Amino acid sequence: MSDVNRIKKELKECSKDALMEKEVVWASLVSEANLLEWIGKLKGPVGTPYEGGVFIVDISLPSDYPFVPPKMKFRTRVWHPNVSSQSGAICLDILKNEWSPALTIRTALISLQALLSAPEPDDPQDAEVAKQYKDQQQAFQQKAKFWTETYAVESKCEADTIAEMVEMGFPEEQCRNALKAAAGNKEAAVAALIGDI
Amino acid sequence: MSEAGSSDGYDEMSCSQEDTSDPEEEIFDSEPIRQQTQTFTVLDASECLALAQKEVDEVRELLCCSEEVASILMRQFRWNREKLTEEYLCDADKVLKRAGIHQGENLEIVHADGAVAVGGTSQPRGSLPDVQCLICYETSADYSALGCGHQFCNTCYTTFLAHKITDEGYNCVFATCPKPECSLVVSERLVHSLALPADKRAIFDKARRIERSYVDDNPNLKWCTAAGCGNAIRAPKGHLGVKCSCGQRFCFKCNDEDHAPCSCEELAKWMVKCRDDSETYNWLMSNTKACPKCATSIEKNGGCNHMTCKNSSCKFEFCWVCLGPWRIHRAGSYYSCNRYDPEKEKENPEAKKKDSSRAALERYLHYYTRFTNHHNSLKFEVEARAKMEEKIKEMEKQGDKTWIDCTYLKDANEALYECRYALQYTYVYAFYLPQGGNFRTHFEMNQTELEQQTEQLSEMLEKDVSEIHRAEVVHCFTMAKTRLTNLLELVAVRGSGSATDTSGGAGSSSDP
Ligand SMILES: [Zn+2]
Ligand SMILES: [Zn+2]
Ligand SMILES: [Zn+2]
Ligand SMILES: [Zn+2]
Ligand SMILES: [Zn+2]
Ligand SMILES: [Zn+2]
Ligand SMILES: [Zn+2]
Ligand SMILES: [Zn+2]
Ligand SMILES: [Zn+2]
Ligand SMILES: [Zn+2]
Ligand SMILES: [Zn+2]
Ligand SMILES: [Zn+2]
Repeated sequence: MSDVNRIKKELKECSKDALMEKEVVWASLVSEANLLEWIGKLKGPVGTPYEGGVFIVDISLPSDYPFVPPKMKFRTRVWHPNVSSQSGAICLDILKNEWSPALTIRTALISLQALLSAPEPDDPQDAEVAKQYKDQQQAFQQKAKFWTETYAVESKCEADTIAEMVEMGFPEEQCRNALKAAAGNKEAAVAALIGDI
Repeated sequence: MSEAGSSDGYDEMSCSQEDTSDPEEEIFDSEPIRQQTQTFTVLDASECLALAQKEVDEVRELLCCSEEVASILMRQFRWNREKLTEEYLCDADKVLKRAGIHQGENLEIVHADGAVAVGGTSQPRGSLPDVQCLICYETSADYSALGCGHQFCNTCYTTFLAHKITDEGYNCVFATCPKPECSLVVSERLVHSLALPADKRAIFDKARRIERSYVDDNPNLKWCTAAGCGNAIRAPKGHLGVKCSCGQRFCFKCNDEDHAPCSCEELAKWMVKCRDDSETYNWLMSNTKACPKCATSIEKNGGCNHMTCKNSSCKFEFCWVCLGPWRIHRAGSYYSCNRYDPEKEKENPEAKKKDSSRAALERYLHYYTRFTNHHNSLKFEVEARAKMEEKIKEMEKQGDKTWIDCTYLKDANEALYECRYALQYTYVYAFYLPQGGNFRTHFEMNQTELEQQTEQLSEMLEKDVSEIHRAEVVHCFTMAKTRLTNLLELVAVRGSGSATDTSGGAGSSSDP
């Protein structure tokens, strides 16, 4: 049995954070109806090949949360030794055995952002990326930057679509989330937003 | 089972209990008898505790610390005393902190007997100020803390510990304060002060016992795999089959059932193969076969493979496994029911048409039949043994003096079990043994001898208790045990790679 009160309190904290411009991580529900499915976002840390990107993380809370860690997975493709380049699976100790129920979704996202700044190639999730990180640092930097620009930077096209959706009368943040959730399909995103209302 | 006992060459009437002469000496003593060397020892719980306690005491004296600290440190360092003392002498504070041992002011909050103890000083329950729990975010006056003073409400603390115990098993002793970055290990006092379910608390208490981690962390020690047995087995690295004093047999390496002489990897491969092919060979499991001579349906209801057709005008004696005549199976004969002979298969005109995949299947079938057969015989013999033991008990109760000393029958049954048990796996071993070579020939020779001796013993023990002769049985099971030892030693020598004369491709194995 998940602790509904605790999750609601976390949600309240997160919506406060969302208003602050200087925030580097955000988290919100995928849909108001389900407290266990979340979507997280984090800014690529400054001074890393991830700078300028916004990375989306799918978060699912197990029924025993917070006594067991949340399940997190990058939806945005990331070139990083501790993230699977195929599935977005993450190797991070606090999401496994080092989890503590006193941690939160927000603190986990902050740790994830810190992981982007400080990869741990000796405990890799993606062996190929880790090998490149160790042996060809320059090539790694280039590829990670290219992936950030390709997958994590909102394209001109996406920005236009969001602008169109906002004109239809939906809040911008919700439009962005819905569009990501619908993998860039505007019709599906709009349908989802109408469904939510 | 319909069998003619006299056809075995035993004249039962001439045998007396004290008769030590052997009618088949020349067959039996064809191989030198070697002494069985037991390479493993069984330790009971108190012996394990004593061994662990000795280590803890030495560390306590060496580091001048309390016994509790010494045991936590040893557990943390996985009983590597050299590493612990080296690191401790270098930086004691760091080692203590990492091991989760509290230093400095005691801010512990625990509940007991309707009161709450803060830093060891008791005060009435409910006298604590309200605080917000960092897990559920609720405010309450009912909370606990370790020496570090990090407070969590009792409900959350209990759920947290219950999860640690369920999810991490015996590793729950390493659980630390829920506050991130705090490495303080949860104390027994705290666990006992919370309302944990009794079964969870029992696991925690068991996990905290020093002998538990002493055995778990020692590669030469392993707990007996029988449920509820608290014994440990000590065996050298690479040793396979062990037997606990409780009767449990298991593989020291993979914890699965004992599978000597075949290796853990071979067993795993074999099991997968049998699972994949089992449907096709289900008929082999059946306990009915047609007599090879008159086709009368014969049911197997004993462990012994010597069959006699129940058709009174036929009475053909044959081998259940290969359906060949039994007379060529007797101990000392040259026929090997165990050996797969592709040449023999070729003599069959039909066999010539068979392609190689069919041949591979036949080869597998040969080994599978024999593996399964010994497996099934084992089941029959376990039943028969129970019946026999019951009968012996009954006789003893009646005060029948001739039945007082029947322990040899128990030993004989035990030997039969051991031989039969190992025989099943000798076929798995042989299946993966490379074709040809001296080693294979030598192995199959030993296997034949063991099999013949085992069948002979099985047959002897299947008789009515009143017709069993002590000297015969004792001789037979002693020989069977020797043959088993010889076979296992032969395999062990090949496995260790020290046998240079075994050109059977030592160390290599082929999967046909
Ligand atoms: Zn890892
Ligand atoms: Zn016979
Ligand atoms: Zn709480
Ligand atoms: Zn759990
Ligand atoms: Zn603490
Ligand atoms: Zn045992
Ligand atoms: Zn094994
Ligand atoms: Zn017949
Ligand atoms: Zn029989
Ligand atoms: Zn046979
Ligand atoms: Zn055959
Ligand atoms: Zn079995």
